[in-house]
Amino acid sequence: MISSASDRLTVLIADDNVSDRMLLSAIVSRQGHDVLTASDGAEAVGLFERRRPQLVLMDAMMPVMDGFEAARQIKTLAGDALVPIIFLTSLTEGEDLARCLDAGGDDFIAKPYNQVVLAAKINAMNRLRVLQETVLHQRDLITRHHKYLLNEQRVAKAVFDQIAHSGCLSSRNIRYLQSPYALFNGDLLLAAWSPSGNMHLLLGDFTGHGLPAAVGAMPLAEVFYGMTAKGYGLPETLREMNAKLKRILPVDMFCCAALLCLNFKQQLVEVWNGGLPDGYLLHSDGRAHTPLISSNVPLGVLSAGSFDDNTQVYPFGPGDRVFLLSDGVVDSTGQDGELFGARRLQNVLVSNRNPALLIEEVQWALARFRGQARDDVSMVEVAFTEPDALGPPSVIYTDSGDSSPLDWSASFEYRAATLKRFNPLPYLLQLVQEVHGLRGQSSELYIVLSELYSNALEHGVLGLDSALKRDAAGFGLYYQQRAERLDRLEDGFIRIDFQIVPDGEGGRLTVRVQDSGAGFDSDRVLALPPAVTQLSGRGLALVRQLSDRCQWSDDGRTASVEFAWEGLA
Amino acid sequence: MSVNSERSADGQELIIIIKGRFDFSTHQDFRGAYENETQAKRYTVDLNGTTYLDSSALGMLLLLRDHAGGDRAQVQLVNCNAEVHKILTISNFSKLFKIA
Amino acid sequence: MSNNPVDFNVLSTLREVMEAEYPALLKVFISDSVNRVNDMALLLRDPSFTAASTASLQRLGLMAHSFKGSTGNMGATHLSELCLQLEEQGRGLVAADDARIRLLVSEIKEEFCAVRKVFEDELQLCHASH
Repeated sequence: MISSASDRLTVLIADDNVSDRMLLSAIVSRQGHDVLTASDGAEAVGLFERRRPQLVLMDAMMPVMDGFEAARQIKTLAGDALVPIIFLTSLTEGEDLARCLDAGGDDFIAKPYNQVVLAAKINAMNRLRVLQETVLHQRDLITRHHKYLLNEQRVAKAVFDQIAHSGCLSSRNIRYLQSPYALFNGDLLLAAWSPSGNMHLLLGDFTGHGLPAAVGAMPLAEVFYGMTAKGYGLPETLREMNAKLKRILPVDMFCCAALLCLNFKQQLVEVWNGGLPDGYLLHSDGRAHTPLISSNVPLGVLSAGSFDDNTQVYPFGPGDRVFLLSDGVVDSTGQDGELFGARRLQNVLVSNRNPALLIEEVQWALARFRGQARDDVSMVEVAFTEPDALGPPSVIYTDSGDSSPLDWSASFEYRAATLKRFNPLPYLLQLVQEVHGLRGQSSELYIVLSELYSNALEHGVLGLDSALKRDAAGFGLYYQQRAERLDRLEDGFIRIDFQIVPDGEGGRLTVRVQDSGAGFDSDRVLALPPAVTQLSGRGLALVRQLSDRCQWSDDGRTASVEFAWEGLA
Repeated sequence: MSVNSERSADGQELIIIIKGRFDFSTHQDFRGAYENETQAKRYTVDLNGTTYLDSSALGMLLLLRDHAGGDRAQVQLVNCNAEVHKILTISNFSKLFKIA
Repeated sequence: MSNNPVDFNVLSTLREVMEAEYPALLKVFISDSVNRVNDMALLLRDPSFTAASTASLQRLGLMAHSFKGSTGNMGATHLSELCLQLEEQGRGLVAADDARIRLLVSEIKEEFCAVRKVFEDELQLCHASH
């Protein structure tokens, strides 16, 4: 409790001189205070312990225990609280007055007492006492709040880590640096496998600090993991993340983010950067680094209608790495206020020889530059790796399989307006996963479905020539044409038929994918040796490798693949 | 740091002038400059004297844009120095504001 | 400075501060002071007392210091002044002089009698006014 300065105080008067004690008691009582009296130092200390008076008037020379010793003991008992002690003294020597101060005395009053001076001193001392009390109260309050806050952060972080680490950040091809409390700096790093064996990775940086910066992380992570696991691609995931953040965050909050889809099988990386500093595609063979420039507004700003989900696609092969960073790196300020900047970062990237040390080298450069660490520096580096070296962990299902449908067929036709924006694959995958016998091959199934669908779309409906992808420049052109033609698309369709039939204890799935395009000479294309198709052509080989049977119609417009399974144990 | 505002001669435009660092400490003053504004049809934020701009300043610009009508807002940012321009570019704010 | 043993300005302040307790204060002062003056005299009569003994001097000095305080508070200005002189002897602030000490103690005793007379008259007045 804080008492106000005008409160009635309890004042302890310690004086061995009975008439002085009486007189002083009368003066102090008249000023509206309650009085306790003691006739020596020991009695004063005892009374202080029992009654905790707020202010003490103490004679210096007393029998049994003198005022100096009593003052020392009272100050010790009082601890952090200020209990002002005013020495009553007719001492006049400087040395004696110094002894009073040494013993913890706060002021003196000389005999004979002057009422006015005494009242003024008591009031002045009480103001100091109240001030100290307020400070202590606020200190305790701050300490308490701080403890709560730390505890809340600990709990929030523990909950969040469960979610963040449910992904594949621990994969051997990912190296990263993040402060343990990055969440409360608004920094977010997530990675997860898609069903087709692609790796999705997100580095995000929410505006602001503390709890406000952390609140958006949870829904963002939820969308990222949920949609990646269901097989959605970057554009759909980005649209959903943007819409969700736009809906829940206040206008002035948003999330700068870069999102990657690393396709190790087809050796591609797809990138979207909205508001993060330039990331880099690094090559080990001496080619110049490719900057991954922010060409989008951060997540959570634009309405669904104006959000731009266009991604850039780059070849990504053995020896290649993607390096992403938060603005804490380039915006680190040196002692003279200068920013670390992109050029210093590029120097580190260029001079790096051992890829395993890149993040450490950036850290050293930062340390040399400014001498003290910022806590909002996040960096991540993800390297190419052969698909077999990783592989998505198999999904664990909790239902029994008794209700698995085993004899059915279904047909879908997606027409131009749908093909422009909609990705039917997650839904179709979900559908066939109802068949328990197929779950063991869900990854293969998804890859084959994706390949057949994108072949039907890109080469069939859009008429793109995969020969374009033979070099890096053509590669860029290919994806540019893809976006343009899709945008202008008015006619065309893709039909997908599923047929499930039981076969002994197991069963068989047949998928037919037909498109409205011109078709191709399937015999010729399939006969090409793989070496001719460097940046392209992996798709068909994958399909043949992963399915039990596959064939194309003579006109090249319909592909048919089969997956079979044995009886479940 | 200081935030001042003035009105164009025809009263249709509110000009907000920011000097020094444009960051969270400017929050109150920046909001105060336009919050009670009901007449202006256009807004200009003059960053001539702005030395630095952080992500909370970007947030404040979004608030102004929202106040000025969201997607229909007419807000322009003028006289950006190289540093400020870079920050606006990374966030692609040119898609939201007219940057002159 | 008047020749009165007690400063009447101080007395009137005491009367005002103490209100009903005023007579009690006077009585307490008188009885307390009687003891103090007797203690001083006893100390001097002790055969072991000598101005050369630091311990004896210190005791006397403390007595004088304490008495100085209460007499000062009661407005017994001259008595308080005598106590100060004795305190200075006792605390070694001036070269201790046995004869001087004995003279001061007898002067204190004499002055206290005068002060006591004033306070007893005050008490009479108090009773009369009630």
